[in-house]
Amino acid sequence: MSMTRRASSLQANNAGLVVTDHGVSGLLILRAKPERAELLDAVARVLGVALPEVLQSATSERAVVRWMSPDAWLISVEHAALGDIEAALLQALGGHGAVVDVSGGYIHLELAGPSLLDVLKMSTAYDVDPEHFVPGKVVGTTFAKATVLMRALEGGNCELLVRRSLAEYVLQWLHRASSEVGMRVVASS
Amino acid sequence: MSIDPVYLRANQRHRLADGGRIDRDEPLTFSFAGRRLMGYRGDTLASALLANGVRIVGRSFKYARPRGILCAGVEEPNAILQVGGREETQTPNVRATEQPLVDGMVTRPVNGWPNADTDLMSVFGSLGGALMTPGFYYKTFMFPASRWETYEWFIRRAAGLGTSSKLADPDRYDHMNHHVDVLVVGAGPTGLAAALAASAGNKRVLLLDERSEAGGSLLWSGEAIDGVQPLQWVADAVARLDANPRVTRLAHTTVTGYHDHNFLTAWERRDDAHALTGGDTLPGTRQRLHKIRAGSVVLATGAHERPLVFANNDLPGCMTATAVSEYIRRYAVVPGDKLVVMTANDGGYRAAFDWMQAGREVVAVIDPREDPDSSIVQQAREAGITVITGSALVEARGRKGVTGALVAPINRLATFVTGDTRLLACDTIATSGGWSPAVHLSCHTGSRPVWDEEAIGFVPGPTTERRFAGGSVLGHHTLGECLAEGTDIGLQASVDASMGAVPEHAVPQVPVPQVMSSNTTEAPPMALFSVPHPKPASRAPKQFVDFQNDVTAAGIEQSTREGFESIEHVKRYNALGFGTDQGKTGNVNGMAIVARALGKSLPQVGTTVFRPNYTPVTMGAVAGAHVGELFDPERYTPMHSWHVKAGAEFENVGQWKRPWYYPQGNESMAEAIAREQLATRNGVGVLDASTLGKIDIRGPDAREFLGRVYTNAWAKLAPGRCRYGLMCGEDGMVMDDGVSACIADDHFHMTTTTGGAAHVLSWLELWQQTEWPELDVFFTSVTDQWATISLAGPGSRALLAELTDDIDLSAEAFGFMDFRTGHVAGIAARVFRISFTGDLSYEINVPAQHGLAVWEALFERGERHGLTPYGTETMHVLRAEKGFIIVGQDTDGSVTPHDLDHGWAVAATKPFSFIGKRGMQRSDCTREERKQLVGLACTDPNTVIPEGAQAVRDPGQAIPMSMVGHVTSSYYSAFLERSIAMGVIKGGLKRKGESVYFPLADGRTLEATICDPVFLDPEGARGKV
Repeated sequence: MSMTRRASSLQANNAGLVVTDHGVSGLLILRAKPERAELLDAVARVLGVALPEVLQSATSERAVVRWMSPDAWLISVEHAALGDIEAALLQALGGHGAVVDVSGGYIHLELAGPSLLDVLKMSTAYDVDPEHFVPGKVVGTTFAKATVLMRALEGGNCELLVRRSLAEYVLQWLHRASSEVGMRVVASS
Repeated sequence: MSIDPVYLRANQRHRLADGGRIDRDEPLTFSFAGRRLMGYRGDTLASALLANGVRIVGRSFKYARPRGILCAGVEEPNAILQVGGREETQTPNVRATEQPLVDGMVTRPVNGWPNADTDLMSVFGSLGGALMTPGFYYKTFMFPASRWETYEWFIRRAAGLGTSSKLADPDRYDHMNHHVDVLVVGAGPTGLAAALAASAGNKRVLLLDERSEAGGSLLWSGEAIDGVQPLQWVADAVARLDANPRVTRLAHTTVTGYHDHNFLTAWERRDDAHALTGGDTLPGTRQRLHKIRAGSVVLATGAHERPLVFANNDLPGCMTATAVSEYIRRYAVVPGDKLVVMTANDGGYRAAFDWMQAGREVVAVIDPREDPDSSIVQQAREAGITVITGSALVEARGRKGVTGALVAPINRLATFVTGDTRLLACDTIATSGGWSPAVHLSCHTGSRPVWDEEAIGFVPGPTTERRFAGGSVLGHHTLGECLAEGTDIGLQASVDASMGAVPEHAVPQVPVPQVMSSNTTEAPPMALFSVPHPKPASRAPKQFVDFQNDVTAAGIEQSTREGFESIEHVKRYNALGFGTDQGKTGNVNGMAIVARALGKSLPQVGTTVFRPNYTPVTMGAVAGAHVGELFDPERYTPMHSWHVKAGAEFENVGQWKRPWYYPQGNESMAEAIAREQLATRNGVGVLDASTLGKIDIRGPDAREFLGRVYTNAWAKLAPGRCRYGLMCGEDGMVMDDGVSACIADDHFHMTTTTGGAAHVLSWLELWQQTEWPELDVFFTSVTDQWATISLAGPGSRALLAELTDDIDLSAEAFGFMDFRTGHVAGIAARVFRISFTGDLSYEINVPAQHGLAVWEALFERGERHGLTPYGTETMHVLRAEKGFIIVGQDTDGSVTPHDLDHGWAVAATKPFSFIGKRGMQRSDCTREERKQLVGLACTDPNTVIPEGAQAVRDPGQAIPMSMVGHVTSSYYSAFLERSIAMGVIKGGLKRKGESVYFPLADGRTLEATICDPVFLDPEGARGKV
């Protein structure tokens, strides 16, 4: 995105799309065989919540856990707690599975605004109707030409986890997709 | 704007003083062929042209005959115009009948030279017309073949339609996805009734219509519905639909493709005004392509009126009967003064009544039916209209427009003329041959339409999709039928969409809109397509079937005589239905003529295949927003902004932007690379290697798994050590390579090539999931997690030492191919002592969010060490000096490890097999004389052999020479002060010392000596200091 364009988007006060950049979160990818129930139970005790089923997410005081595939979950935690939770998860898995710190590998965006639904419909073929893409639902899908992990939030907002190397492209795309309604980028408080 | 109303009226001499759905308070100006004309908001371009008395809107494709507006909708074949106010917004072949009039619009005919009114090509058309039979171009311009390009230039000038701009399109386009329970195509009476019914049950409904407003034929015809006037009923229905948040309704949106599984595409014209007028480009989207996934589809696409085929039926002033009615009632435009109607059904009489009501003269209605017992015929006679039955309008008279109609009695089957002709003076001819249901969309998924005798037309055939059709597309044309069927299929579609999950009592009750039935009798329509002429078709004036492609009845008959019997062949030979209108008015008439010529029935002849798109869609809409900088995602490393500031030139590697080289001042590329190379070899250089694919591999069986996917052994690699690995496909061909580090016995960090990362990860998952699920191992992509900084050169140790205090960098403590963790510039890092340059080198991996900070810290300390950033081009030279391969450059999918002389990286004795082991043992892979990777030293050390140059052993042989290999990598090495190259040469490994030759396209022949590919430091001493 050119600097002038970004400047204009920052000035759009009545923006149809508001993008909050949450910066670097503590992110872990956990992989384990779903049939090893005892491992999943041990993991759940560490996270304070059971690992979610297909296309779901689960939230506890410590973590937000997103289903990625039948044997992979993306977990966000407080960055300060990352090391402890990573170690506890590895211990819970007892060597059968993987826990990988990917905090630097993603950017964490939250999309909001009155035109959010239209922007999403312009960006992904997934059915983003609020009755279908209900709060808590998680999908890995194409967003423009990038791959993202997309989660519906309470209140109609949408969380995007985007590979760091594709972040500029996705922001540029969002700017384009919201060109008729305006876009505002805000940093996370 | 204020325009003198007197002036407006004077200009629009065919405009009625009142009536129509136009806004007389909002006059618009536009230009056509340089003339300034007037119209009103609510006009289409076509209605405005007719209002201004414009008769000729273009010249025909092949014969350059003058053509006028024939229809009022999407089926229009003639009125296709070049529209656009500026060169870059030129839009060719815009149908004037579909294009809303925009103030300031700039339009012109797509052809005609010097202009459409006086076209010199028509001289050729009329003189040569008799010669320009089907296949004219094929037959005439065959010989000599070498002249074709000359012929083509003239043909392209003479024929063809509009022109596209060669400038970049300044407008914005985009796409939008929809998931709906019910998609209703068409917002006429059937579609509106269907949408109302479908939306009654809280279903997601999308209603699309190609016209500017909903209502379809109700906008200009129809009886009272539920006791209110049709326009009021439409307004109420639209208001109800628009108030429902579950309903989306779009105008100006044409469904263009119906694909498998109820996936449809629709093309919306949103904001064309600026492009058509020459105004500034707006920030909005000009056109949008909708991609719709629908539970059920309701086709309420209606029908197109068929004009009759008679002699000179293409003269300006010949129109379909419905078009005449629509122009009068919807746009308050009467296209002429004296009308002759020729109709084979009751419906055509409407045009005569509307004409009469507009205060103009109806000369006669010609009806081929002998004695039609119909209320409407009676009404016409009572109104004083001359009705001539059992007769036909056999020929239109006139030069640049209709001046008369030749009428003759015909026999009952309408196959020949039975009496003398007489001439009726008139300026407009309205004809109706019946209705062709708009079955196109129903056919896109492979369903064939079926002939309906009663409807005298093809109707949608059986389908496997959840598709419903009703109203005119089924040949049911009365308003009552349309409303009842629309309600019915709307309900069915909404229930079906929920896959039977709704209990029956939950199905909403929707009343059918009622039409007052009147006591009228109707006479059955006559299946008339082509009107007989006193002369045979080949001798009579031309009788046009497909106006846009100048296909005539005589031409179709001739092609059947030439042996074309399949309708698909006749279509292609004549180009019937090949125009931008896809033969919407002409196809059925053409099929009827083929049927008559072959003595078959119409269903026996059958239809041709309709394919997407229903109407032409602009390339802009197809591309959407995926253009320019958004055409393909660009991936950036965490240090990208630094490279940009440093003035780097970038190279695309897959989707990644990698620094290619960093020119300083006015440096040329060669100078920059020489500087970067010498600085690295003699001091210290740094490369951003973050794009390398990185995969975290973990689990008790990680080591075993690596042994199976790499060709070399991994059993004994100790934690803290790295190893280079070659990965092959099952065919034994090299697929990827990279260095993997052992972090712990059950934990490895694999690197792949930049371009191969995604493929390698899915390759590992594929084998683990499908072949070796018993192996307890997991793979996680960490490409984006780690920023990778490759520090290379003899000075790298001293520089790194300044940035770390917890890694012992001494040669004894941290040897070649070792891996250590520690801190670099205060950031936890994984440091690999591996080298792609042959020099002392450290690859520093830090979490990506710290990549830029660590990179900058290196440069803060690096100045004293002469730290020089280098790009991929210098990396290529440095690695080539050492004979290190790049997979994909030095290999091409047909190269085994042995071909690369990398047998040392193949462990044939591993206890479990590895991928590619069997493949590389095939006889073809082990034979002599395979192409093998060798070094190539040009005999002139200052000449760089071009990459890709083909090698021959004997440069004196006759062409075609036998080629023995080619150059894969070739550079000038500033450090070695000579050119170096690698290539694959047949039997090259045993031919070291021999010469090969490279005859080049520029006439030079270079000579090179086959040598070892390691040009620098063959003992490997530099890297092990």
